[in-house]
Amino acid sequence: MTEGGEANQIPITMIGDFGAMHLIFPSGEMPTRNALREVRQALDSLGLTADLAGTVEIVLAEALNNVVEHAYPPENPGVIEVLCKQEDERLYFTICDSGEALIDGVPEGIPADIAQPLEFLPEGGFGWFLIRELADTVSYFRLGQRNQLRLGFCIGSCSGRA
Amino acid sequence: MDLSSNFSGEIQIITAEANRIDAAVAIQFKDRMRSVTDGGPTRVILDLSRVDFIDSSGLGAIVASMKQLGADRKLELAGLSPTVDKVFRLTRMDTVFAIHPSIEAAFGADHDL
Repeated sequence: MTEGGEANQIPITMIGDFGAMHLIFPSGEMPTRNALREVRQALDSLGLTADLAGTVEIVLAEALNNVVEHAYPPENPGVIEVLCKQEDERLYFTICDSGEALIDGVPEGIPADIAQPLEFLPEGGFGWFLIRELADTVSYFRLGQRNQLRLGFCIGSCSGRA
Repeated sequence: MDLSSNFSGEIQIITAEANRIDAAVAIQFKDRMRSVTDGGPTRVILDLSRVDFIDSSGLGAIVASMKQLGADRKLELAGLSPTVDKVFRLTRMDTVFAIHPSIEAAFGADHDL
């Protein structure tokens, strides 16, 4: 979208039309699921390990669920866009929507407290924690009436994680 | 979101017959778990070996399913795929549930894990 015009396409191995992938779909649980399937297929075709592809899918699922549940409440649905980009050993996903802003920016993602008796165990509140934990970079911009969440993942030697 | 249920002695084995437990099916999953576990034995094992993806909504639905069982019954999990296992580990929910590598292993396991 706003990425510069440098020709930093990756030669060989990496391939494909991953960087050209641009998904546009209505906010909703099933469209989100379908979009994740498209992304997962693209990740698999890039040759990512199942572990890394799973990590990316978890983060995208949580980020998209947030858009579906919070940016676009049921009474005010809208359109979600996901853009994918590969820069050397990094993958970037930009999720755009025209819904409600994240007033305080990206939440800290404090893990839900599970040291609770059974009846008080948390059933939610894990989303931002998982995003923060699993993505290598997370940034958020409010541009006019648009939200832009950018998620980065290291898929090569820059990755120190297991 | 289909669940199949079998009984082996005093143990109920529920198999999630889907490859995802996500936001799209979380509520349905919880409701199906409620009806399928209604009035069953105290030990319930949920076989997740066919599930290769779970998000935090699905995780919440599994937690809710355990709560529904009440204090006297126990929900155990078996057959977590690597991605599902990752979600349980990161959220520390792996410390809340007894988790078995497989249904077979669950049967061999001490009841009071």
